[in-house]
Amino acid sequence: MQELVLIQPGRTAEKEFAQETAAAALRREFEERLAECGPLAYRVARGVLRNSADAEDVAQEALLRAYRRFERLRDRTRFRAWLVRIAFRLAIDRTRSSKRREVRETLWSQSAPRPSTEDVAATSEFQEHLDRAMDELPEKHRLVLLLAAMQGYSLEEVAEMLGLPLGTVKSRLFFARKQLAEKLRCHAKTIEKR
Amino acid sequence: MPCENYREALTEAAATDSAPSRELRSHLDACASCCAAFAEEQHLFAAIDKGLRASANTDVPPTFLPRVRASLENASASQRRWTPFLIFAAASAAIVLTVFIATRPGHAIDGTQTKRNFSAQPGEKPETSVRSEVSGTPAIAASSHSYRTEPRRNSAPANSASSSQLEVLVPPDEREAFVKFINSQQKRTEIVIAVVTPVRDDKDKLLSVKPLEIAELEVTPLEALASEVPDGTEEKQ
Repeated sequence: MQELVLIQPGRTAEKEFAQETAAAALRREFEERLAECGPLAYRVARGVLRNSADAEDVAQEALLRAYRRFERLRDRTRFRAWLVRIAFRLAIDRTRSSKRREVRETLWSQSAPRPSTEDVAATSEFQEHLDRAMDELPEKHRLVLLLAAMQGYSLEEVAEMLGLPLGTVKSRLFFARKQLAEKLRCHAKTIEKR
Repeated sequence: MPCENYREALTEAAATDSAPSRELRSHLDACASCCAAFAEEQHLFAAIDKGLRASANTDVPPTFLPRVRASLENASASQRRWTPFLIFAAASAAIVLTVFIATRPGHAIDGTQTKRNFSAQPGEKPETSVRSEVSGTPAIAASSHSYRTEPRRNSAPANSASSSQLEVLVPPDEREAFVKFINSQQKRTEIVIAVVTPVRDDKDKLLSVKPLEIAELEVTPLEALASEVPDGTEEKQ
């Protein structure tokens, strides 16, 4: 005997409407988090790249990626940590690719892109040495150092953000600063010049 | 205790930004060089912290968040815009693929060959024949298969163009008459209806040989012949 199925054509429209409503709610939720975490993503990228334009691009890309996968994020309270990791990873990748590009441009005897006036103003001799020493740090130490240096984030918050015990964050911070001091001790004289 | 032994403790105290231990404090009070070194270390770490804070707390450009919002809007809009297009493109690709598979050259050749094989069945006579009757009266016999619409396998492309036209086989001596007939019919406007008669296959008839006529033989029993041999009368007959 043939099986009959009752179909309600209005259901499709209802379903579409429900989907649109859910998408709008998701967008609103993301917008709220964007205002809170957007600057953090930018600062993480800026801390790694030390270039405003690149940092803006990377932070935007990180936020876009986060938005595309936001629906799949089960624990929304972890959004900030998630975004920080995405931004940090993208910034590291960008640094590596720009280093490769610099090598290519050197080979082709082309001048490297000039930093903006703002970037030049923020750079001093000691800061340049510090930036170079930062680049040589292990990534896990670098991220802890960067987040701990940000205003408004305590070590407890950094530990929560990175999903690490507070002790681990403290020890990473200690070793990172010590490594920096060892690298920069010979440039200590340049501090007085500032 | 020599100053070198305090170097590590001195650096750690400066790095952790904590107060030096009682032992270190007493040494620093007694040793001017270590006190200066400790101050230098503190100065170095303060400079490092200042540099880190400077690079970690840069002002966010005011255009950043509006730019991100715009890109989010574009991303959602493009997602909405592309979804029906992708569905349409997938459907179109499926249709094109199906048509391509159905009409690819290999399939077409197979189909033609099938038709040829079908048309080359033994019962059919694909050629047109216009022959005179055996009786000698002029007549035109056109076979219903006189149209060579199917291309020959080895025919040139030029022939294929005229293959859809009527081809008629005419005996050499009747060619002129047939041309006159066709010309006269072309001048007329009304449709020509040809008298169609079944084609007779006269090839074998022209080559046929009359059968031999053998008279009936009278067979007689051998015993009767033996008795008649001495006379020789029956043998002569």
